[in-house]
Amino acid sequence: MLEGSTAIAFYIISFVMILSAIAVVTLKNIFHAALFLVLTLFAVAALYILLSAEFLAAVQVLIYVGAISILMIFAVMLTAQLTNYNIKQTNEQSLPALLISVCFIGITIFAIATNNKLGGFPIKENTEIAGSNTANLGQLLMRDFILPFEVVSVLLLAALIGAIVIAKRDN
Amino acid sequence: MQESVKTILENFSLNIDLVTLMPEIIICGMALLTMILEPFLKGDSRKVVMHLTWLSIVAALISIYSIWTSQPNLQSLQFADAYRIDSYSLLFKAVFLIGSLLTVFISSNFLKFKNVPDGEFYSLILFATFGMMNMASAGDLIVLFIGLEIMSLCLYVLAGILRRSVYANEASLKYFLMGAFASGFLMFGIAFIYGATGTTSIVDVIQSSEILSNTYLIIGAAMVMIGLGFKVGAVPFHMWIPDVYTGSITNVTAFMSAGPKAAAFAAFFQVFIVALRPLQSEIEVVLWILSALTMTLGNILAITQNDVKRMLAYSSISHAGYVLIALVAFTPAATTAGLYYLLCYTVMNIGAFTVLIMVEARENSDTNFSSFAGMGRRYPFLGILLTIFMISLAGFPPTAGFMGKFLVFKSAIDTGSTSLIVLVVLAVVNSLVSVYYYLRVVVVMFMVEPELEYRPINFATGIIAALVISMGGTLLLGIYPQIFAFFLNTALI
Repeated sequence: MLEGSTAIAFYIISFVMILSAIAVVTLKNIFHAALFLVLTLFAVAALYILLSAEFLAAVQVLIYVGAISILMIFAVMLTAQLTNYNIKQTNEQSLPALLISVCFIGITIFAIATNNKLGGFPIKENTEIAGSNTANLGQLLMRDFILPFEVVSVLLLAALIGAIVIAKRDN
Repeated sequence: MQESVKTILENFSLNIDLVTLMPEIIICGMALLTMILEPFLKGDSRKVVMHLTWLSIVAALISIYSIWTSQPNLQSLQFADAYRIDSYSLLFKAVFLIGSLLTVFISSNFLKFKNVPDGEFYSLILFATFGMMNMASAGDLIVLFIGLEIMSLCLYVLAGILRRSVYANEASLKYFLMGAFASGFLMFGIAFIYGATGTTSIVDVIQSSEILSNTYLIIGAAMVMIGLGFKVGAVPFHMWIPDVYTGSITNVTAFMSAGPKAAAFAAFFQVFIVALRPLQSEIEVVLWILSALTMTLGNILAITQNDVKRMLAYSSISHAGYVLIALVAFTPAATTAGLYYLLCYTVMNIGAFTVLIMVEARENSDTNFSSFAGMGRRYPFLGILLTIFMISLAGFPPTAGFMGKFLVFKSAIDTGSTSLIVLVVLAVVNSLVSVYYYLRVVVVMFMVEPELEYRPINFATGIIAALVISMGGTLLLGIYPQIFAFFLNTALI
């Protein structure tokens, strides 16, 4: 299924994504790690575009790159001298964790490869969706998923109140 | 363009029935209202928030009752099948509301004693309750997840609401980190289930029959089980419970051990009994192991505790194990019995916590066993109440704890499967072991002399109301379960 330029783009993006993700969890300087996280998230957005999920890509850049990563970088920079520290990113549990992750990846790959519905590798293309993704998504959100869409606002409000309760000054 | 919007609206109906949504509307509306009111209230008038909160919970309970009596066999799917209101979800909501009501009653004075600002407290309790109601009524895995997140976020904050206490900070942080991790598992699992079936709707998942024994679905089920197992505190996902329950302020601990646990079980029932019914044989094995481990480990660790609050935390782990038996049994009767057990556990456990709060809310007091020494002689009536709660938690007649256990065990034995009978035998042995640590409180209370004169206990109105309701519930559910016969006729789907 992956052919020509799409295949080349996929391999380049994946390569960048995996390398920068490894950098995030291994670099000793927390500031550099945060910058590599930005790169990883950008690469994920690029993958979304490759899957023709342009709305998801835009949201990924706006929220993860634009908001969350920038907030993390601000937090690192505002915390006194944290940028200069060399922080060890591993502990004595790193080896078992690695083993479990590798097992999990193995099981997941096996599952995808033997999935009848998805047709195993290569994954079948979904031809049912007509029209632009964004328009379809908007209709779904406003129709089938109107309840979760609205209830999320309650979730955000509860989170906001919670943040204020924890952070406010004693009077 | 306008025309197309019009046709969409005409061809599409959300099928909303506001009457059956009344409990949710009342609770969510009051949560918002308390936040708006709170800044305008000063001094003594701040009590208004507390009174409005419990009144709204009572109103929601009344509306559930009226929906129940006016539409006995209600089966309504709303919001494009994303929200399901039936007798099962209504009863679960009633359990959550009773838990929240008792929590509000025991909180008012205790918050003042501990110098905690109370405005946000009540609104967070109401928001958490709203989240739980969403979980019980979810017709879609996404709604279930969002409900769970609303509940969890409120609990993370409530656990740390005692901001100057290091233990509360530890509890809050630990709960947040572990909880966020578990939510990640749950979300990932839901994504896998979507991958296997192409839908997140709970009803549609069972109907997509072509996916039987698909590895994808099994991975999804396993990850959802990890996520929900964490929320109910099943061994081996129980690590957070002792520290979080002990570190949090005691009225929040009482709240956490009742409603949210029941809500997590509601989600368990929804996902594993309704949505993933095709995987029954695989799920049963895993749940059997979880149940056996949970009740045994919870009990063994509870024996060694010197702090009553921590002992109750471990006991709540073992009670989760007993409810899991209902899930292993996989029959409608078992689900109903599980629901009955959760109601019993809510009233008797909050009852025990109420007495604990009364003991803790004295000068220089804590929650150790030694704080109970001499209480039975100074306050014999209170001593007898605590004895009844403890007997109920241990599962002796004529109390709610006995009836709940009896129904769960009976439904498991009725299935006739040998593995379930083995599990029930294990549960009975565990109940006998639990007598030791529950009655230890009673022994200390009546038979150990306090070092100094027993410091007086403050009987506040709210506390007395909570004691009356929880004691009434404990005795009524144990002695006269027939009035809850409608309960027993409620089957899932």
